[in-house]
Amino acid sequence: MSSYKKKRLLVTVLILCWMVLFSLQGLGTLGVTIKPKIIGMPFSVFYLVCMGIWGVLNAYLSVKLLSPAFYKKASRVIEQLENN
Amino acid sequence: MSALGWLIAVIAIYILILIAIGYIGFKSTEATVEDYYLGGRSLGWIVLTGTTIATYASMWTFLGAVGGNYRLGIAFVSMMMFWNILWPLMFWFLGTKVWLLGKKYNYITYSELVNDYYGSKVLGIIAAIFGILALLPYIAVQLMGGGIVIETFTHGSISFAAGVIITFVFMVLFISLAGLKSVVWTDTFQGIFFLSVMCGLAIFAVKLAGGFGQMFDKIEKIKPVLITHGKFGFGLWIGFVFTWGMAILLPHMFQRLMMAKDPRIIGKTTIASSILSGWVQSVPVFILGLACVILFPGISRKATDSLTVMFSTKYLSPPLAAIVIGGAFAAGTSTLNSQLLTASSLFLRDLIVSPFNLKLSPGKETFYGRIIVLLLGFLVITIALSRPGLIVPISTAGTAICISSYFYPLIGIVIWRRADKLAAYASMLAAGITSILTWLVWKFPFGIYNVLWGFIVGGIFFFAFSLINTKGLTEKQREVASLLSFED
Repeated sequence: MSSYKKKRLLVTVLILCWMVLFSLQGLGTLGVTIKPKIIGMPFSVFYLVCMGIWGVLNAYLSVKLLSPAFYKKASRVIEQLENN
Repeated sequence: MSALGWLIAVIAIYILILIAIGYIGFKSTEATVEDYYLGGRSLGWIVLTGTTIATYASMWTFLGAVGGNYRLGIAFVSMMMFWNILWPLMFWFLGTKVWLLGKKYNYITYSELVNDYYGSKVLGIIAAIFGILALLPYIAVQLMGGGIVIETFTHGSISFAAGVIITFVFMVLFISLAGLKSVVWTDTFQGIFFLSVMCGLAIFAVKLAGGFGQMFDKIEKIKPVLITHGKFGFGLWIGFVFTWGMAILLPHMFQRLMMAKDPRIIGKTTIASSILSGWVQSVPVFILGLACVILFPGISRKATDSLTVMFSTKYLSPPLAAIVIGGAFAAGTSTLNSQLLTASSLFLRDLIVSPFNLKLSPGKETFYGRIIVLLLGFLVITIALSRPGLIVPISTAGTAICISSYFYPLIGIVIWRRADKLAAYASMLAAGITSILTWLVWKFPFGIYNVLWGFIVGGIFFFAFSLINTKGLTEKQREVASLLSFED
């Protein structure tokens, strides 16, 4: 498996896990109780905060890991367009 | 000065600022179609993030989402935060490919992309029709929001209908004066303005509610269901998530995928949007909605759309309340201007110029584009004046038509390359029609939202027709496949 494919797989797995765990809150299975309270927040709100942080990390990792291949390809295409 | 006087003063200053920004944009807008619709494909990440978020967040966020949080609490904010982070992820995964295709083949709309890839003009026409169908209720919602804001703020001195017309005149005049080059700049200004207003309101609301801990304690006593998810059905919850999480497929959002100056801008915009949309757009409306449960108990369902304005008029001084109303206008105009402009490009380019092979000079196309903006505006105002329901359900169900019908043909271009034009036709028509029927005829069967029905039925048609396709890839499809392969 190429390094690009491995990175893409890692990002995909992370995003899918995040989507499943977030959906479980929507389903009413996880992160829906008031107790235990954490830093004054009901557990449901704390769970939401964790999902929010994980989501932003997903965006950051997707760009960080997958952008070099895209930038390389894009600059090649731009160069070709400029030459034409 | 009276509340109305303050409102007029703030709106006047606000309009002057927008006109000044718009004028600079107008002067720098050349008579090229790319400049008018795509800001000349030259945006940096700050402006691209600003215009994308401001276009995405609308009266929906400013009014509807506060009401949604008031009614549903954690069930609402969890789906809102989910979709507000999902769309930036889609911006990255689809945006990189769409940007590259737009750059290479000079596409301006989604219809042009699918037309060219599948070699069918009819597909583009169907896409344009679904796109306009989805945009009309969404645009109407912005005008309704304007009407609600003005009516509530003036305690009924200015009626809802008059408020709608005032909003309409202001917005259409502004868009007719300048194209997207000014829209993206005014969007950035308006986005910063309304997000700041929302954050300020949330901080103040928490203070009034006695601080964070106190606020949650009070909610636990008054209405604990708001922090324990409650009974909001999963079929609707996940339907909302996928509708707005895929909102990048909406015609006015889709065009933003092609506006970046260079590929790095897409990456930076993705990260910035996930923070701004996921957090700054979602959290303040949740806090304000919960605080309003304590401050305004027992509000009727219909009146929840007015909570932001009610809060401002009750707890803020008239000048500050007028600034909040300015924020609501910022949220509405920044979405509506892009939507009207995009609807105009769908109408002109995809329903008239392309099918009839018309050759219009860029100047003429820009001129006709402005005329169509005016005509569409008149159509939308009649929908808004009929006030068909609450802001959130109308715009979400309308948006679902476009999302579900646009999804599979695009998947056929960027991922699943077995699809031919028959699969694209079948999936687009099946998904679009299903999502209309499961909204207007058989409303959300089994508690499942119309976008999901569209995805299910469209997916069955798409994959079935793809699998029976025995023809190989066309030359164009092979070229696109090689262009979109990022591996060495």
